[in-house]
Amino acid sequence: MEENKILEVKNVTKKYKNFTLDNVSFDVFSNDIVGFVGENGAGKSTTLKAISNLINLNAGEIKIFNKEYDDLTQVEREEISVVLDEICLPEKLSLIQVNNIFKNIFKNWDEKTYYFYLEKFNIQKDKKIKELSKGMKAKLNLAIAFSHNAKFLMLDEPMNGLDPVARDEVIDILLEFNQVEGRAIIISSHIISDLEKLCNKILLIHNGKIAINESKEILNNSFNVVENLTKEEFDQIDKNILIRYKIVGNSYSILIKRENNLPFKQKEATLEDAIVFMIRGKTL
Amino acid sequence: MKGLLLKEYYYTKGIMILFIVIFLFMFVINLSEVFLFDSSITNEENYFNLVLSIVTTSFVYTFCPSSLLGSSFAYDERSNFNKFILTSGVKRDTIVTSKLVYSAISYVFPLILFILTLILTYTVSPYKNIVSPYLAPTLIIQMIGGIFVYISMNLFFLISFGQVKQNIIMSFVNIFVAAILVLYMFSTMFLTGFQGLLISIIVTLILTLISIIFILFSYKKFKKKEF
Repeated sequence: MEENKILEVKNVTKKYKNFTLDNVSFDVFSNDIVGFVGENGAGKSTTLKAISNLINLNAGEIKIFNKEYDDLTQVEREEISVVLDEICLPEKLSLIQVNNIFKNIFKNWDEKTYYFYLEKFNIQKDKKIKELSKGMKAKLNLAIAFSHNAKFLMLDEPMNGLDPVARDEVIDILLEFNQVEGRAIIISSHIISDLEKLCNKILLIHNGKIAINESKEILNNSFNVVENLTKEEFDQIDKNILIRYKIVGNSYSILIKRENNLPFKQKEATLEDAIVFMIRGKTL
Repeated sequence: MKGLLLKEYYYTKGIMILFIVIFLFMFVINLSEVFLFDSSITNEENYFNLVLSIVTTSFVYTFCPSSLLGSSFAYDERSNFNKFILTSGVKRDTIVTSKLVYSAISYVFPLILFILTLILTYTVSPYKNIVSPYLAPTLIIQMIGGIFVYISMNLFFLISFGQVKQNIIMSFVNIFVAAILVLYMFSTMFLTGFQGLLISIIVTLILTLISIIFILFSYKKFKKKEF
């Protein structure tokens, strides 16, 4: 199992003035596609920054390809690719200049792959970055990530600004990318439907703490939702099967374990239901 | 490193061309002063004007290119470029080294022009027989000392405080450094002999030491910088 481990995050803590990433631990294995979800400010970007060695940790340990970041070789470092939610290149550069820069920065840069993806994404190579739409910039980010032979992709809101067709295209590309043994993806997004199509694991972060670290299959098959319960009905529920509850007006909505004997009308909880309950719901 | 330098070139190509024009203009003005020998005034007055002109030019050559480094940092900050390349395997030390090399490269052209001015002064100008043999090495050593301290301080403040705050800090630092450099360079006008050369070597050695300290702190600071 250890040799299949692409990423190990162990008890990572990062304290800011108004926020703490608190004792975060999870693993990513070969060919995993992990959906990283949570509301804005929950700690997704901070976690990805910690993995990318962009911030100094207060505690904890992060290993990529079973090594600490500082011990990774140049080639191994290039096998990690982070796609941020913005294009981190000066707007005045042309896409040909971008290629010229990166082929002199990355040892593994593949010019053909870069131009292949630009063509696939319908981006003209003679354009400047400032002439690209937000969606095109997101696609350019992905083209760059794919062009330096990355094995581990970390994508921070890569679907931002993409239309549904482009999102679908990106999902297909990511699924194709992950077919090769030894690769893995961790992707943060607010679009649960995309994660549903893409991921095999879900990582939910809430207030800087990991709230869910589970396979999508288990999440999809473990919970039911009951809506419009009265206070009296809610009080009758066995607290051992109750996962979360929400009060909507005068009625209660609950997320419960699928195996139960409750007499109320139930529906199978979707991934989105489970995530929303975990974030917005309360526990007893 | 090559890719990072290429990026600097793409970023600041426009400003570089502007500086080349300014430097060429300064060069022409400087040469015209060197070659406008007015025989009606005394040798001493002419000599004073010659040294004043050359020292002023060297002062401009020392100060101007440092703003290229500021522009480069400004572009990096605006586009989050460093954040991006750090996540792609580029080492932090490599980024700092590329900034240093870029700064050094930006001084090559003004240094060549300056040395060319001195060569012409010593070989074909009307002053060729009266100019002190110590003047040229003194001025070059002074200029190199000024360049070292200016690059290193700029680098340190840019890394420590970012481009916007650095601009404010450097405005104050500029006044301080400029005052020192003016005193230092213009002292050459009165100390044109071996004594002047000796003082220049000592001051440049001190400035180099200060620069090394600033550069080492820059590397240290950038290593711990969060993005």
